Amino acid sequence: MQAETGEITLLLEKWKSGESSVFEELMPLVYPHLRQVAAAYIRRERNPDLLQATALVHELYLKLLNQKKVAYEDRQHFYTFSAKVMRRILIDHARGNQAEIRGGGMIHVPLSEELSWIDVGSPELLELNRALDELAAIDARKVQLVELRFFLGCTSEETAALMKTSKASVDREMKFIKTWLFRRLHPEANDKPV
Amino acid sequence: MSEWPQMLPLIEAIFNEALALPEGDRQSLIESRCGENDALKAEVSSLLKACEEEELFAAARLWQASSQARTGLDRKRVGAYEIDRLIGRGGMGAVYVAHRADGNFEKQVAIKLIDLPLATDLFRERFRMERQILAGLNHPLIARLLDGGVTSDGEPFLVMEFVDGVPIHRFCDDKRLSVSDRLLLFKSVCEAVQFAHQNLVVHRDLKPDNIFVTEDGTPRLLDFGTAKLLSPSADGLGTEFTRMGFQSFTPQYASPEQVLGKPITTASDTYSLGVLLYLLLTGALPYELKEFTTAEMIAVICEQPPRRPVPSAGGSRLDTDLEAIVLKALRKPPEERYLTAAQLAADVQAYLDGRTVTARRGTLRYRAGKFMRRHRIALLAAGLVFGSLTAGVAGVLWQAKMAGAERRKAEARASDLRQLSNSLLSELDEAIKELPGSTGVQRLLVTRVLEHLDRMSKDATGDRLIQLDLVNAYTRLGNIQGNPYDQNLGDAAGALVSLDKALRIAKSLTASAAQDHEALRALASVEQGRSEVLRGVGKTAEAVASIQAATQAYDRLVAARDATPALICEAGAAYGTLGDELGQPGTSSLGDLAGAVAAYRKNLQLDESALRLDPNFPRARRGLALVPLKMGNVEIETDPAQALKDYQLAGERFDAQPESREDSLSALRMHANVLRHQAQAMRELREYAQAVPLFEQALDIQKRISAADPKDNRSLFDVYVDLTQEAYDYEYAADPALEAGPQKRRRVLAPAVPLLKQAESIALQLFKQNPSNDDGRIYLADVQVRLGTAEQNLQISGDSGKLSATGLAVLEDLGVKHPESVLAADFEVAAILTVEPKKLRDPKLAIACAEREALLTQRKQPRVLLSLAQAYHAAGQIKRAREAASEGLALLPPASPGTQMSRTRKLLELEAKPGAAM
Repeated sequence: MQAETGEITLLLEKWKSGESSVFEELMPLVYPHLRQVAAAYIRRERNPDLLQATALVHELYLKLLNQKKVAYEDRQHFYTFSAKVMRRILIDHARGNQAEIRGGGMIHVPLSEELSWIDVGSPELLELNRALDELAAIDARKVQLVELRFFLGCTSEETAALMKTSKASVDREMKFIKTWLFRRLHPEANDKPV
Repeated sequence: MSEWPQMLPLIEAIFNEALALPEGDRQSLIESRCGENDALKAEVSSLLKACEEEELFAAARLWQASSQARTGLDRKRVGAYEIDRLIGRGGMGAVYVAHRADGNFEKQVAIKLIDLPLATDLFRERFRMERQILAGLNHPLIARLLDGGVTSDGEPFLVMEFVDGVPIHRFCDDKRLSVSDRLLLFKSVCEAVQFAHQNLVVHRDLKPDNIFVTEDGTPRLLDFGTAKLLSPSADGLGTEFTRMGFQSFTPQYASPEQVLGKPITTASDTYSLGVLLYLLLTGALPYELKEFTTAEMIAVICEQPPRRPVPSAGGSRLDTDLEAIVLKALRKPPEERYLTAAQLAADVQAYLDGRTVTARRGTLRYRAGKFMRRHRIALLAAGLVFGSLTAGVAGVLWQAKMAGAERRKAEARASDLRQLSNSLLSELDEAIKELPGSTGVQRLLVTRVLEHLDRMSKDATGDRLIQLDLVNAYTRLGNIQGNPYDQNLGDAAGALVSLDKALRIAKSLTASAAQDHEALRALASVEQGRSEVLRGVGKTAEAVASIQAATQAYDRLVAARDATPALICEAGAAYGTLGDELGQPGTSSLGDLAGAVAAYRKNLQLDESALRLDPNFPRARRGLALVPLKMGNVEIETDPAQALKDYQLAGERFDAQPESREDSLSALRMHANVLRHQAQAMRELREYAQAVPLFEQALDIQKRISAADPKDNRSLFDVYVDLTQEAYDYEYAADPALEAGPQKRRRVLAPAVPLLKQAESIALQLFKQNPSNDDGRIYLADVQVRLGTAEQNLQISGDSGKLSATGLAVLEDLGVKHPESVLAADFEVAAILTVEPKKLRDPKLAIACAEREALLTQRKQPRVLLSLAQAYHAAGQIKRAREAASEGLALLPPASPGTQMSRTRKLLELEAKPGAAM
């Protein structure tokens, strides 16, 4: 038992310290569950009975904790890791979506109410993905915020708790990040006469 | 602008502080927090602006998303129409099916309206534009505009014909249309697009979703929401363009210029039509986009060749002609595509009729070009192209042997092959221009092309077309290998081998068919290339023989009734080369000045007759200006007054060239060049003072050109030439043989020193870059001798004596090393005769050297005979000096009374006169 606890903890630890190959090892832990959430999310079945991604992660985490497969301190890593997986699922979906020939009018499903100008499955989402990669090179923490808040769907409060900061500063930082991303994705907006 | 990582926290802090303030107070906060850092200021301001935009944009999108849920509930009526249902939603509005509420009409309509609460003026402007565009487009295959108005909310709306159909690709698949039915349908779409083009409208978003086909099989163009009205202008549709606006495009159907944000033309629509045709024929798209990032779109749409079209109907490949049509529509450079939808439709019709399609021309060339572009980078890949090329050749030759009906087909292939060879060669040519250093790649390419051509020529006996191809290919290859007048690889020997191969085939072709004008022209072109290469290696007499063979061939071609301006110009150019080889000074020539002038006259006549056929033929216009310049260069030796007139004529004609008005670099350079030549003619007329301002103007221009691109050695060399030529002006003016009084001489000579100093530093710079170039060493040594000498004459202290001694030693060495070089001999004689200190002068060496130069120039240049006379004079052999001077004088035309005596004539007369004094 104790050894198993060590395993996931160790993997999370390794992942946190930048060993990206560990990501693939950890994936099976949350991927199937998150995929289901994502599928509903993509179809926009805003069914109140349906699990939210955050709730699911929470449940999974409690389960692992009960099974002593993770340590309580791993909470933050587990969430940020799950958020990254969620990001990957949604990006994979958008890629698949673009590769097809699309017909008919497009239905807009915003990634998040907070980020209404990026639709699930849209080319912009892929642009956002690129922009986040760029941002990661400048400030990786900001990317974690985006993943938690916009991809996993954490509230400001949840995000603040995970990132060990206040809700106000999460909101403030998100505003800045959103602006930065918007400008990055809409360079022409700056050239337009106001 | 992207901020640098370490600044991000500061940028974020100021951004947050600013946001916390009322809007009016933000600017002063930015000012005080950013101080003098303008970049930081700009960054924060840009972000604040983006923040505002984001809020507006986000609100609009939220509203839009939520309104999807309540379609038709709160918006039942628009004007006189009652909305039935939502059928589509685009970036800025929604389209509904509606019917007239007053029962006047039973017909269904489509209503398009802006339904964003925060629609910007830009949206409204686009809406207004669409209405204007549609109002002008009355065509059965374009969804008609029926009405328009403003809703009770004050938002504009459009009422359009409702097209009850399905997207074109779905229609084709649902109805299982045959290839020819698909093509007919596609042709109708082209007609509709062409109609729009004729009305100066570019659709910019052609895709299946915007092309609906009704049950009866009639296609209709929808959604001109992204269309652009071209402003009518004299230039016509093809060149008129419009800029991409805020409007986005559909990546899968977007042309490279749309992706790159470059000007959009009607050819952008034909590109999208090409994607559509690809889709209709293959069921797939020509490219696979995965990421949809700008970077990927640029890489895939602008650089990758389309996937090979595989027919959806089965079979491994599309009909060759059909493939050619699709690929032509999809070419990256707009000018290589069908420029209009009508051209595309015509080619589709040609295919349906079983006629030759225009797209077949240049297909292989295009593909080879694409290949080669990548190969320029990857040496390894080069083998591949040639592999496929060789396979192609084998196929052609095999087919060429077949009889009957296959014969015609084989000939068509051969013509593709010709284009392929040409294309490979022009790619090689371009590779040389772009990668002057990496000759390894280029040499490999040459070897491969040569192997390929040699193999081809073994099998080509008796096949005129292929033989003609071979002549042209060998000629081009030869020129690339070693024609000094082209960008070349410096392999003159190899060039001559290739050109001789071309010549042999060309001669056999013209011998068997004297009236074969194509072969004759090819022959002329080989001889021209041969002549230029031979001249480059100093075999001037052989070069002249070659170019005379070329001019004879051209004489016959020009005499034919169907001579084109291009041909006549080519003939003119050959006479120009003949003139150069006979007597253009400063290059290796036979020194036949009269012959040269006659050849140039012929060149001018030919250019003039080309201009009579086509008054704007650019090459002829250039020739009209260039030839007088060359004539001036010849005349300046004997008749500087006439040279000055011709230089002035050249100047006027150059300035009248269309490109001169654009202030292009080459026009500026030419302007400076002509000015300098005029100044040199004045100098030869001993109008030294009048020449100075012209020299100065020329120098000023060349310096500006050079400063614009300090790495451009050619411009730098031009500056060197101008400096040294102007310096001659002062040196000649101070010539002790012409001017009395050492004091005056010193005053006149002084301005030469700073010029020579600048020239020396440039020559040194050029020499260091290419130390193995002996011409460069000669230029450096000459200017050192002159600088040292001028300083000695001016009694400027320093080691000027050492400088002139060093320079002289180099010139003497190089004279020995290059006994065939007129340049080396010329500079060496001049240096020995004028160098200070006088003890460095070796009259015997001067005589030997001057005799050599006189021999090299066939004793036909008065200036050289003057040097010879001066050399004998310096050695005390007065009788020989007089003889040489008289020989020189005899070359000059009779002096016209009342005109200024030229410097050379005056000095020759001094030497020829008994008892002439130094």
